[in-house]
Amino acid sequence: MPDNLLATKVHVPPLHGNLVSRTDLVTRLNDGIARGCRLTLISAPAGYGKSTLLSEWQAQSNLQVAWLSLEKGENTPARFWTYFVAALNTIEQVQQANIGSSILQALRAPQSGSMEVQITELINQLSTLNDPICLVLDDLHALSESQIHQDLIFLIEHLPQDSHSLHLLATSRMDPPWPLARWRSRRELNELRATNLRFGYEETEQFLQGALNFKLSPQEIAALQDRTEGWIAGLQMAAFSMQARLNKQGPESVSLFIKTFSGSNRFILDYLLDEVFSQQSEELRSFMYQTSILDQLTAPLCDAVIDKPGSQVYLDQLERANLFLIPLDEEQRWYRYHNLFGEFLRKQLKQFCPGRIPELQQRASDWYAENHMPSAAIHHALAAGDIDRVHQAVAGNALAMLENAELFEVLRNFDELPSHQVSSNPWLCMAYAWAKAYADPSTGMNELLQQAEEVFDNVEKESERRHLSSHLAAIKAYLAWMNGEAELALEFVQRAMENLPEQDWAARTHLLNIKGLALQYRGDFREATRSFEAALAVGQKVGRIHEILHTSSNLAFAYLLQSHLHEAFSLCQITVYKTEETGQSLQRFPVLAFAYATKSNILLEWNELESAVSLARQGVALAELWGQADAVHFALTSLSEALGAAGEFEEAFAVNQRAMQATGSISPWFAKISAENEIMLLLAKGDVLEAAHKFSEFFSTFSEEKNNKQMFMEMSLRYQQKRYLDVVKTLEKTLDDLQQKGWNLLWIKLLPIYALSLQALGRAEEAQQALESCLAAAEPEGYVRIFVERGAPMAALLKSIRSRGFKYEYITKLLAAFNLPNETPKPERANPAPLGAAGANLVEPLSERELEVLRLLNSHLSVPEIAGEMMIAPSTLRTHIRNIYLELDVHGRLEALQKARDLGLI
Amino acid sequence: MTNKQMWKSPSFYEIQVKGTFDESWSDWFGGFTITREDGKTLLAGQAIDQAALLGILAKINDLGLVILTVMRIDH
Repeated sequence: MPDNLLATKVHVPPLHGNLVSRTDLVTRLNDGIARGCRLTLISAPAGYGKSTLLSEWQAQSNLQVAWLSLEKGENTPARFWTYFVAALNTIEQVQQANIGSSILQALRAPQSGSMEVQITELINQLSTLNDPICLVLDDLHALSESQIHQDLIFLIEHLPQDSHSLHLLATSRMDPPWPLARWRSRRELNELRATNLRFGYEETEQFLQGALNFKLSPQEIAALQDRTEGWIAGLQMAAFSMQARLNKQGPESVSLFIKTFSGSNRFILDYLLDEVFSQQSEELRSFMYQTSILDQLTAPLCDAVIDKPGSQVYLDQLERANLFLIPLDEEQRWYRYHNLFGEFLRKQLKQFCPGRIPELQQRASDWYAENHMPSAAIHHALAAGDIDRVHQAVAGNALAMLENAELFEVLRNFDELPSHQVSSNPWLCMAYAWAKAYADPSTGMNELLQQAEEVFDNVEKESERRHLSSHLAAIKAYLAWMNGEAELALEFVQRAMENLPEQDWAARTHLLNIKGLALQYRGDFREATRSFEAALAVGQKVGRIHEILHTSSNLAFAYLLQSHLHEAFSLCQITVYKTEETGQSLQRFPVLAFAYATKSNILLEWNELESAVSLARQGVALAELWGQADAVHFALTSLSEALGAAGEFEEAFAVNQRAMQATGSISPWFAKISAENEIMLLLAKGDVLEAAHKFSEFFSTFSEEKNNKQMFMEMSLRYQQKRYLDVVKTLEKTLDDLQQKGWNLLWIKLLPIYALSLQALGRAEEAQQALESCLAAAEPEGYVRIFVERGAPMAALLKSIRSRGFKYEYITKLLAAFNLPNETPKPERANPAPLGAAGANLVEPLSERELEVLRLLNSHLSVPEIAGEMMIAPSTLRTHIRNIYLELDVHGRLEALQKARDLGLI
Repeated sequence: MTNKQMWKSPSFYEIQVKGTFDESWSDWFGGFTITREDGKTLLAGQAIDQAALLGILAKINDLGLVILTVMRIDH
């Protein structure tokens, strides 16, 4: 399989060797689109040049065209829509608009039925695009699943006709089960069929002249056109045969060919394939036989299958003939046989040397296994009927398989194996358990582990048994970590390490990573860093790229937590560069999702919001392609945070919701992170009341244990509730401690809240001191966001510090990022008040809600009555009242009302 | 045979296509036997259900063959 399977599917096939330009047909295509047809259908058997026509049209079109080549494997709604969205996303404006994410989201949900809601959303999203787009569905006949067809009909029928946001073009060997007659009668369908596609006399002549280096008589051309009925593939094969005959046997043999061919009533394809094939050298024919078992061909793989070097020469030869091979990538390293020809070759192979097939399949399997493409290795081992090889293919690669593959694809592979085969092969069992732990641990995981344990107990070899049990412990460690049970995870890591053989480097790096993550969860950031560094050393020693990438991303995040932003960022950069150096597509390395998301987190601190959002989006795309739950959750959460910072709250909440739905059921810990993030978003939006409500809910749902993120959440909330004294009292006790523990990111993010709270309490001197120590630590790492997000009060405090000459340049830079509405370049302190608004000399103006409370306090209503009036709980109302008193610096209702009147608030 | 049985049990079919080809293609057509008669080929065999029959018809279509008749044979 090519390095980048996805890109191949959504890549517009290059137009090459096109001898006859079909201007009329291209015009017909354009007319249909201009007329506002919903759909262009090109329906004809194989070999009529359907895809070639669309390539030609695409090359000349000014429209933005996306392309999806369908294969049988896409025949499930999940895979089809995943690729559908991926294809659309090759168009830049679609990618920027993040179109289709809700479809991807829906696909992750266990119950998948009709996609109508998501498709409606997709249509709405598409209608917001500036320019219309076209999507080619090539080889639509590969889809037989009726749900997909129903959804496609729904899509086509609901496309807005006037705005032409999306035009679909489909090629198919048979008419799809769609209401074509209805669309035809409404003139919504533009159709090209075999009759339109077949070559007429002139096109046949033009084609043969281009393909042959000799001239045929008009009668001969007419005979060929007649016999092939203008079928392009037939003419291609005939031309190929004639050229080969001429070169070998001279012009008479060509005339003879035309005579016998046109006189024969043998099935044309049978005739021509035989003819074409027999024109090849014995050597090349044997090469083609043997490699026909491959779905995709590349020279090293072919060398392995035919068991001798030199395949590149054959492939080049076949490619030049432009008849047998279809290039799958632009570098022309991967090919596949033309469908019909491939089938013909397999028929020949089966007919003439059926006994060789298992051996060829085994060699293919071995090559794929050696090249770390275990899914294909398994596929060929199964085709060889060699279950031991299936077993071997998995044994050495269980972990690599998980890191470069689409996990759901891997799971599907396993699900297709007979269950007794899985359970009788311990390494298959193990690989299955790993894949499940990664992608879908919420159901059936315990049963699977139990089953694995039983299988392992029956393994005879002591060393292998130990090896297997160490993997099992590693899986349990991973699951425990995901579950937020750090101690248990560490225990399992320990157990796994004891039994792990020296040479299993992949598992070793993996375990060190899990250990690091568990330590990190527990708050031992420095220890965690050491564990990641050790993992990285192992990975580098054996030069395994996946292990290096995974570990580097973890290490970068650990640096971030310790406030080493630059170090973290450059590690992420190096990680991406390393991947690029391999020359392979980044999509082969979905583990990069972690690096992208971490980078996004760092850019957020630097207040580079646009880049942060865009990187997080890339992270999400990779993670969703991969399907690893942890990566999906991390990337989505990062995207939500970045969107929130950018003020895109609606999408931020939606993305957070997606994170929760996608992975919340997998781990209570993930659910907790999503709940925290929601509260942080509410706070950023200024919805303190709702945030407080969710906060109390949060602690009734989750345990009381407070990790570092929760501390930040709580302090942010208290600050925004104006419970400054609470903030100061808590932080006075903990800040130093945090710094000692190495929780520097948290420490530095809490200091601004601490300083502002001190300021609000009138402790200006301490406030300045706190902020100064924050600035001193923040400057080298370039923090911006922690200040900017605190708005006007922070700007004021920063200005007063700058006026004393402290960190002048840094503060000036920070102030420029504030983007305050009333910002004037006048010197500080010159004109501090009044800004005109009521209550302007409060540290923070009262919120709408607080003003409402204040107005109701100015009535005869009792507190419970006010609560009833406002439809909130009395306890919530009391919180408001407390905040108001604190803000107004008063101690009772009457005093508050007096002060409020003085300030013009009521 | 009731309608129900008709769809449940495997049935024999004869498919006549234009052009001739030899027995070696039998595998392509779900093991149907191949007989040639003056410029036409008769494919005959058992399709376990309608889906299997449609699969064979699709194969014929893929090969660009022209279908002349399709007939179910009751025994």
